[in-house]
Formats: sequence, structure tokens, C-alpha cells
Amino acid sequence: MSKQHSSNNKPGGKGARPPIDPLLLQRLEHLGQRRPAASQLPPPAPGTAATSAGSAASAAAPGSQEAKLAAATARAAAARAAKAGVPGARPAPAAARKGKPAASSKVAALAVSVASTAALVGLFASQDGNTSDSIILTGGTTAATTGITGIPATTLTLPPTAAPTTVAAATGDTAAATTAAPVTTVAAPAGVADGTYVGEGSRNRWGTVQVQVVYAGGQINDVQILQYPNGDNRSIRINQYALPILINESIQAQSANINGIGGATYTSNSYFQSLQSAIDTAKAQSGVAG
Amino acid sequence: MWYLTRATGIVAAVLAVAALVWGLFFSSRNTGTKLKPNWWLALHNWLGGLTLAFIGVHMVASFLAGNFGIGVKDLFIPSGAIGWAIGWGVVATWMFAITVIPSMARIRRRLPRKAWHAVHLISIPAVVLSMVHAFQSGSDATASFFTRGLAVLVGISMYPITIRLIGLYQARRPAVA
Repeated sequence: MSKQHSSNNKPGGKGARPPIDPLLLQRLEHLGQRRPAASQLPPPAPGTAATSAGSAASAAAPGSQEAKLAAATARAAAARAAKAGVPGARPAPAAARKGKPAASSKVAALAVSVASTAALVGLFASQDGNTSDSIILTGGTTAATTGITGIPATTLTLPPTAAPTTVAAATGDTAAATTAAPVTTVAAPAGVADGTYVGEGSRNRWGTVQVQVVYAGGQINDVQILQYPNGDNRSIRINQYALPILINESIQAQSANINGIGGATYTSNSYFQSLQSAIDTAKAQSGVAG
Repeated sequence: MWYLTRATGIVAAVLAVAALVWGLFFSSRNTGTKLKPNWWLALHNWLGGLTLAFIGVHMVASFLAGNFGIGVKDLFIPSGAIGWAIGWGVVATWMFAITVIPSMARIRRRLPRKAWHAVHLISIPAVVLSMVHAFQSGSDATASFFTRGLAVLVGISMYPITIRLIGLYQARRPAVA
């Protein structure tokens, strides 16, 4: 064997191969010697394999490599025999296992993924059912505390009053109000009955903006947000920045004719439309001409 | 549909990280002795395909949800018009597709191994981009379960990444006689 080894590694030879590790060579020789003996054995069957391997182990000299190998073979055969003998144990041919590795793990991964998705959908649905994010912003003194579901379409608390008001009156400067009343420039909707008027929702590509306007003393006292685009974090950030500014501007202007907010164009436009709708509703219900 | 969009997005992110972790364990030969390497490889492939499938459901659901203003074009072409928060997700989707599709057995056989490996490494920035997408556009980015879950995923990923990097370093180091 050593001759063959050296002949295969002739320097510059046609089929030059790297030298084989002597230990590996010895192991291969050993396996080669064992192969004919193993092939004479009958195919392993439950019970018989264990006994044949066990007899081989007992025949070998105790403590030798062959004895250890035979003992390990006997243990493996015994384990196979025990597994085959257990009622309900799946024999699972090796070829089938090789063809579809991790089949059960794949099914488990798919099941866990689908179940997680379903659980998350249920969680989100329950969270949205428990919390009302309908009114989150308010610009006036009357803080909104009720959700959208608790608010009637229009809440009138007082009969319509015909007293015209001005912006100056709204700021508390009564002297200015009396003197400046004839030259009021801000188009305050005079004669609107006190109450809360809900505007129509205005939809844009990021969501819907819907407001309700609160009149007190014929003035826009507050604007409350019923809906705003909150489908993603960016929208929430933009709207939480822009909407309070729009609310304050519209209270000061007492109308929907205000400037939009840069970077929140969609929200601004939808806000204008919904607020104008609420103001129109208030005027119509109070019998005030446009 | 909105809930389905969020749920499938989160599950797809978890699956992407799981596929990455499985792949790193496999490539670093750190698969242990209990389970055969082909088990790891098969599950890695499966998780990658499952990730792409869930991304597909995520895209369809976000389109059908309607109130995001996402059109068919926006699902496939990243642009700032609809916001880069979504654009990063589109980029990550393409990167995942580029990673997964060439790994299919029939295509992979025709590719040189180095080319396939280079393409396969795109999955790492794809996972990072998908996390950016989740944080920028996800409604759940501020939720405690999301941040904690992400921290756990990053922690889990660090272990195989470290093993892989150490393996690469040792492979390139000249052998000591």
C-alpha cells in the first residue's frame, strides 16, 4: 500500500495528488478490511442486527479498537431495533427524510407566521376598539373629552341669538368692540347659535380630516379634530404639529380663510374644507345668510 | 386591511431576521451536531421564501387598504412623491426579491458561486432597510412591544453575525505551521 502511495505522488507526474495523511490511510485500510465481512451479514432487522453486532463485539478482543467499534455498532443497532419495536413509532425511511429535510419545521414556521399575523390583527383591532383617538387636538378653552361616537351630529344648547359680534369682542376688548363694530373687517359669522357643528370629513391621500366647530356667543370658540391621518408615524408627527396651528389661526380669523402650513399641504386643504363645511352647517342651521 | 398590513409587515420583518440568522449559522458552520446542515439550509431557504410571501401580502394589503394613497406604481417604484418611509420598503422588497429568486435551485445552478454569494449578501442591507421602513412609516414603531421585539431581534442577530465575522477573520489569517 505504501508503494502505491508513493507511486501516485511522483513529482511532476500526470496524476499528481497531494499526499494522503498516514492516519487517514490507515483508517481507510481498516475500513476496507471490514467491508467484505460486513457485506456477508444479513440486512439489519429488528432484533437480529443487535444480536449479530453484539456477538461481533464479544468476539473481538476486549479493549481493542475493533471491540469499541463493534460495541458502538451494537448500541446503534439496538437503538434502531428498540425504535422499530415501539408501537406507533414512525420508521421514516432515510430516503424520504433526505428528500424533504425540515418538512415539519417548515410547516411549523408557516403555522407560527400565520398565527402571529392573525394574533396581531386581533390585537390591533382590540386596541382600536378600546381607545378612541377621535378627538385629540383642541385649540380653544373647552377641552374635548368625548369621543366621536358620543357626539351627536349637532348639539344646540341655546336658541339662536341675533346679536352680531366682532373679533374684538371675542378677545374681551369690549370698548374696542363698541367703537369698532361698524368697521369690523374679519368676517365673523354673526348670529350663529351656540353649539357644536360637525363638518364633513375631507379625504386626502393620507387619510381623512374632520373637524367640529364650537360656537359660543356667536363666535368660533373652539375647533376640535374628530379625525386626522394617523395611519403612520410620519402623518401623526406632521398633523400633531400642523393642526394646532391651523386651529389657532382659524379661531383668530373666525373663518376658514387662513394660510396653510408648509409640509402639511394635504392636511391643511382638508382642514379648510371640513372647517368650511362645519361653518356652513352652523350658518344654515342658525338661519344666517352666508 | 390596515390591521393586516401592519401585522404582515411585522411578521415579514421577523421572518427576514430569522432567515438571516439561519443563513449566518449555516454559513459559519455553527449548526451543531443534533441537526444536519441540510436541515438548516432547507429551513433557511423556506424562511426566505416565506419572508417574500409575507411581503407580498403586506404590499397587497397596503394597496387594498386604500387610505394611504398607495397606487400600483408606488408598490414597485420607490419615489419621494409618496414619502421615502414607504420608498425604503419598496427598495427593501426589491433587494429581498433579488436575494431570494436567484437562490432557487434551477437558477442557482447556472450562476457562478461568487456571483450568487455577492447577490445573496444583499439580504443584510435589505433587512436593515426594512427596519428603517418599519420605523419611519410603521404605526407601531413607538409601541413598546415593537421596540422591545426589535431589540430582541437585534440581540439574536448579533450572535451569528459575530460568529460569522470571527470565522471570516480566522479563514483569512495565514495558517501557523
